[in-house]
Order: sequence, then structure tokens, then C-alpha cells
Amino acid sequence: MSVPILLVVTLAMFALGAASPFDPAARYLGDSVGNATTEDLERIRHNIGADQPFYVQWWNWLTHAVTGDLGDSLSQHQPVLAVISERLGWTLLLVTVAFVVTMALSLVTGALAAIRHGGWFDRAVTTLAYAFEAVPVFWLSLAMIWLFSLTLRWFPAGGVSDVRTGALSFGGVLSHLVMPAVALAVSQVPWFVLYVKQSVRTAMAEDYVVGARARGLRERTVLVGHVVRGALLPFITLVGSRFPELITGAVLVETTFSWPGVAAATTEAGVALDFPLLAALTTLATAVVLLGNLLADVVYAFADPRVVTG
Amino acid sequence: MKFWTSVSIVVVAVLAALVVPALADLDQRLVDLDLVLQPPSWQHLFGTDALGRDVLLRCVYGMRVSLLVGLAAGVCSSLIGTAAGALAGTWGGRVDQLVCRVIDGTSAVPQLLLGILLVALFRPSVTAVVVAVALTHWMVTARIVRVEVMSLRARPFVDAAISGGASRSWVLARHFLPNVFPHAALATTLMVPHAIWHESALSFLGLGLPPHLASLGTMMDDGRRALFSGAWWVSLAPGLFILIPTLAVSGLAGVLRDRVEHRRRSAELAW
Amino acid sequence: MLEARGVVAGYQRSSPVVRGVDLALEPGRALGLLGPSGCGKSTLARVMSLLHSPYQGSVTVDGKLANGFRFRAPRGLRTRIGVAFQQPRLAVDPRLRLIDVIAEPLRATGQSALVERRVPELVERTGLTEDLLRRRPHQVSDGQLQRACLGRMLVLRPAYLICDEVTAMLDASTAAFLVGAIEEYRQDTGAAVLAISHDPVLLGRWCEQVLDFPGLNARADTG
Repeated sequence: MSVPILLVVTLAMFALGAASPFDPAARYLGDSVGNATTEDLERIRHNIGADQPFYVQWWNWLTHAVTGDLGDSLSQHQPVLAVISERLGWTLLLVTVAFVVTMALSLVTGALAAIRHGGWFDRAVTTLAYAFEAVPVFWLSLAMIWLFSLTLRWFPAGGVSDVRTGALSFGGVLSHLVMPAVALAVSQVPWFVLYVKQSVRTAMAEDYVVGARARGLRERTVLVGHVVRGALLPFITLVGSRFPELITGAVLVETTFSWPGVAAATTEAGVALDFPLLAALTTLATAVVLLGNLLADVVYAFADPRVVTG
Repeated sequence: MKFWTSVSIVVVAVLAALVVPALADLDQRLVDLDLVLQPPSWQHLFGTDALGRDVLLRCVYGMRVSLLVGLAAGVCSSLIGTAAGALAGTWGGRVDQLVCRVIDGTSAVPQLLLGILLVALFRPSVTAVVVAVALTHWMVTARIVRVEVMSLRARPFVDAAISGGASRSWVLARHFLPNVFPHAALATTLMVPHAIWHESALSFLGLGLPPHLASLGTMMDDGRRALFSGAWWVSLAPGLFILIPTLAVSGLAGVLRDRVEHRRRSAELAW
Repeated sequence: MLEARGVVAGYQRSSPVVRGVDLALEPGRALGLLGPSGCGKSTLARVMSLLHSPYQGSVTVDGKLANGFRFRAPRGLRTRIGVAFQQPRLAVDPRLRLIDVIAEPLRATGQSALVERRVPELVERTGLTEDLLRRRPHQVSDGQLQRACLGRMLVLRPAYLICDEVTAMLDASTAAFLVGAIEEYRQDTGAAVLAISHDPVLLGRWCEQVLDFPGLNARADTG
């Protein structure tokens, strides 16, 4: 199911490219386009295959892509595959750390809010969650840079390496990682907290929990053994479906903090009209989203034997 | 209570965006170098930007652009979504399968990336941003409308219309569309803050509206640059201007959703 | 003649509720179809009014074979058959005024010019009033709404009427009035009526012949 969607999405991308005023030949020439004659442009178009219909271009791109050749990035001056392999690690590091923080924070606060439903903690968490859900992540990032980098000077404002020496060190990367990871986590936490709270509340009303209470089991045992376990499964299955939001957040956070990952490269590729890189990164992101959906289905089927994946 | 707070915030925001530019005529290109990056004061409540312009006043201008772009994009996405959903729900079968595949495919591309791709290919402009936001946000409306039409399709009044000689397009125009209208309208309302957010995210990345057009997103982009000169206030106001109406509209949408649901439930009970 | 032959229909192919039924409705006749609720008589009614596609079997209207159902049924065949249902609340679009409910078939078939003439006739026939015509469904009673549904059924002057439990939700006097109105239309025009109900007393008074639906189905099962 995922592969045809991916094929159609890439084809649609090339169709959009063909429908747009974007001229690969002019882009190829860059600033010297003013000196080029119409014949020059025609020749370049022919040489790079841009005079062919979009589906032929797509087919060429696809057949090269499966062998690992994604073309050359115009903005980074190296093969697209090299750009991605160089930067993917940074994005994975940032996203993984942010995700672990998100999970830990939302599970604990969400569960506590559900257990003490209606209390001051619950009300505070719920209000903050709604408020932070509306806060644009780029604004939050700017506020954090102002407070923690420029005013308090606790953490560096961007990049990953030491500003003066340009050296990469474990401690240096860690201190650079804190702010983007926290910003990305805070942008994801509200939705997860509200969801955890809801599913824990649902689980608490389930028969088996009420039954466990009635059997006189200790409150702690009931909560940890029954409620959290019951609420965790539907929660895990939804994680995969939140990948699009995570990717959107990563693009904005990486760009704001000049993090050298693939998500920031997307912005650079967009600004520089670097179609080969943009096409590859969009395909990559789509593949990740589809993988997330698949993961959600698989985990769901695994957790609930009644579901047959088709 | 919540309803009226939300309504008044939205009304104030819209009025400010409409009325203030008419009262305080601001020359967007006017540069006052004596007033560059002034911190907030009683004269300039939210300070001045790198070209000496009042941030608050620019924000009101910016909000007008953002609101217009958001509204246009919200309406466009609802139109596309309603058309697609009604098509799938009315015709069913192969048409439905095709529309569902298109929805799945479009949903699989992260919205911001598709937005970046569209704006990059079609060059930053108001139209490009509106199209980018509309093309990435129509799926929710399409899903809602499709399900609503499918539930309407099974109602006996549709049987009666068919028996009375009505064609598919008659039933679509006279029964389906008027009955899904409240749902589509609600989806549009919900979409506007999304669209504003999306416009500002794209503009913030330098891939939205042209820089000379003050919108909340382009101002935020200015604010990022000013931040390193120590001017935190340049990005403060645009952020608040995105945040507060967003909260108000989502509060409003929550209340409206309850009402539509309630009306539907009570209607079903009456039946 | 409206005729169903070997109709197998239902909502799950593996367990159809109508299993190979033959039924013929001759012009001018009032035929009753009796059976408990959920036995499949409504499904047969929907098939015969060309609103539900059967898995097997055919429906012919005046000797013409219906080669499609619902929107795919030729308009000329569909409009030969009038339908009315059990629950008037579900059978009208909640947004329409009663006058628009009654006039809809005329407008949908491009005969808006006839609205002025036909609707007042039906107001009299169905016992509605000018005032009620301007109201919307939530402002009238079930009985008044069912009268409007009756008007809608008759407005195109169909040759066959299929009435599925039309009186089940109504009080006795309204029910009697509606049956009277349908009978009057049958006398005037020579139309045929297929009346479906779970109530043997009602069908016994209304119809010249009453068929037992479970019996029809069972005969089809064995035969």
C-alpha cells in the first residue's frame, strides 16, 4: 500500500514542477542566466533532460534513485545522497532526544493529571497544554534563544560546533542540543499530554480496573498494573501517526537553531530552489510518514489480536 | 462565557485589522533612523523595528494580511474538501476509492514540506501561499463531508427524491450540500488559525509572502534577525498576534462544535 | 403491470433477506403484503420501487425491464412508481418547507410550471392547509408530515403506489384518513397499490388480496 502512494507522490511532484514557472535551465545557469540566449537555454534543457515530458523525467529520476543516485544538489554543491547521509544523523539525534523527552514528560504529567482529575494540577496542566498547543514553535524557539542564550548565556544559540574553534566535542554537542530538543519536545507535548490524560481516564472507567479496585487491590497496584497498562497500548499505536507533526516541528526548529540536519536542508533547498534536493527530502519525509502509519498498524495489530492487517 | 470571550477577541482582532490602517495611515516604506530598535515605551508599546517603525502598528497591518491569507486559504481548502468529499460520498464505488487514495497520498506528505515545495516552485507570493495552504489542508474537510454525505445517502428522503425522478446532481445540490454546509463551515472556521499558522511558518522560513509585505510571519522573520541585536520586542508582538486569535478561534470552534453535535444529536433523538 | 421475478436481495450477499420472490401488481388492484417486522418485506418494496439493487432477479414496469436501480434506473420508470415510508421524519429533508417537499418531484423532473396547479389539488386530497404548507418539518406533527409525504408520492400521478407501513406511526383517525385518500386516488386513476404492513386487520380492510410475505419467501426457498 505504501509503495504505490510513494510512487504517486513523487510523480505528482514532477507534475507540479512541470506545471510551475520553474525553469531548471535558468536555475542551472544561476546569475549568468542574463547572458544566455534562448538557444543556450534550449541546449541546457536538452542536456539535463528538462525538455522531456514530466513523466519521462520522473521515470529517469526513479530508475536512478533506486540505484542510489538522487542527482546533484545545486545549493550544497554535492550529490544529494551525500547531503542526506551527512545530515541525517544530526536530525535523528535531535528528533530521538526530543521524542524521548516528549514521551517521558507527557506520560508522567498526563497520567498524574488524569488520576487527580479536576484538581489544581490537572487544571494547570490542561490550561498550559491548550495554550502551548497554540504557541508557534518558531516563536517559542526565538523566546528560548533570547532568554537562555542571549540573556542568561546558558546555552549556545545555534549550530553544533564551538563558535571559535569550530571543533566538535561531546560536551559541546550536548550543550547545543538542549535548546532545539526542548523546543521540539515542548511543541509536541501538549497534544500527547491531552491524549494520555484522556486515555488514562477512559482506562480508569474500564470494568477490569473497577473490578481490581473492588477486589481490594492497593490503589498503587491498580494504577500501575492496570490503568497505565491499559492506557499505554492505544497511546503507543498513535505515536506513529504523529510523524507529520514531528517532521514539521523539526523543519522549523532546525532552521531556527541552525541545526545541520536534513530538515534545515529542506528550508535551504526551498530558498535556493534546489529541486533535486527538495524532491529527495520530500520523498524521504513522505516515506517516514508512511512508515509511521505502518508502524501504528503493526503495533495495533500486535496489541489487539482481533485486528487483521490487510 | 468562554463563547463570548472568544467572540469578542475575534471581533476586536478583525475590527483592529480593518479599522486601524484606515485611521493611522502607516507608510510601509517609511524609515525613521532616529527610532531604530527602540525598546517598548509609552510611545511605542511594543518598541520599534530595525527600520524605526512601530512594531504594534505594523502588527495590526500584518494581521490584516495574515487574516486575509488565512481566510482565503481556509475558504479555498473547504471548497476543495467539500467538492472532493461530496464527489466521493455521492458517487461512491470507484470514484470514492480514487478520492480516498488521493486523500491518503496528500496526507502522507508533511504539510510544511509540500508548502515549501509549492512556494519554491511558484515563487513567493500571496497566491502561492494561499494555494500551498489550501492544497495541504483540504483533506480534513473532505473526510468529514464524505462521511456526512454517506450517512445522508442512506436516509429515506433521498430514496423519496430518487423515486420522484431526481438525478444525482439534483440530490447533491438540493440535499447533500445544504445539509453538510454547517459541518463544512465549522471546518473552515477551524482551518483559519491553521492557515494563519501555516502562512507565518512559511514566511518565517523565508518561503512565504514577499518580505516587503508585512505579515505576522515576515515580521517574525525580521524579529529573528533583530533578536541578535538584543531587540527581543520585535518578535514579541507578532507572536502574541498569532497566539491570541488562534486561542480565541479554537475556543469558538470548540463551542460551535458542541452546538453542531448537540443539534445533530437532538435531531436524531427527535427522529 | 409491476412485476418482480426471482428477486434475491438484502444487505449481505451471504444472507439475503429476500430469497427468490416473484410478485406481480396488476393495474387497479390493491394488494397487501403481510409479515412481521424485519422479515424482508421492506427490502422487497425498495427493490420493486427501483431503489435497491437486487443480487439476482428482475423488475419490469409495464413490460419494460428495469436495467438499473436508484439513479441508474430510467427516470421514466422510476416516476411511474410512487413511494411512501413508515417514518415521515426520516422521509423528508429537515430543511424543506412542506410545499417544497410536495413540489420536489415536479421540480426535479423539470416540470416546475405544474407546481401552481398540482400542489393545491393535493392540499385538498391530503387534508393539509395553506398555513401548514409554509411550515418546516419540525413545526408539524408526524401525521401532518405523512400527509405531505402522501402529496409528494402522488404529485407525479404514478400508476403504482408502494406504501411501506405508512400508517404505523399514526393515530387511528389520521391512519384512516390517509388510507381513504390513497383509495380515492386508486378509484380516480386506476392506479395499483401495494400496501405493506404487519397489521392483518388493516390490510384485511384495505386490500382485495393479502399475501403472507414469509410464505412467499419460504416457497421461493424450496422452489
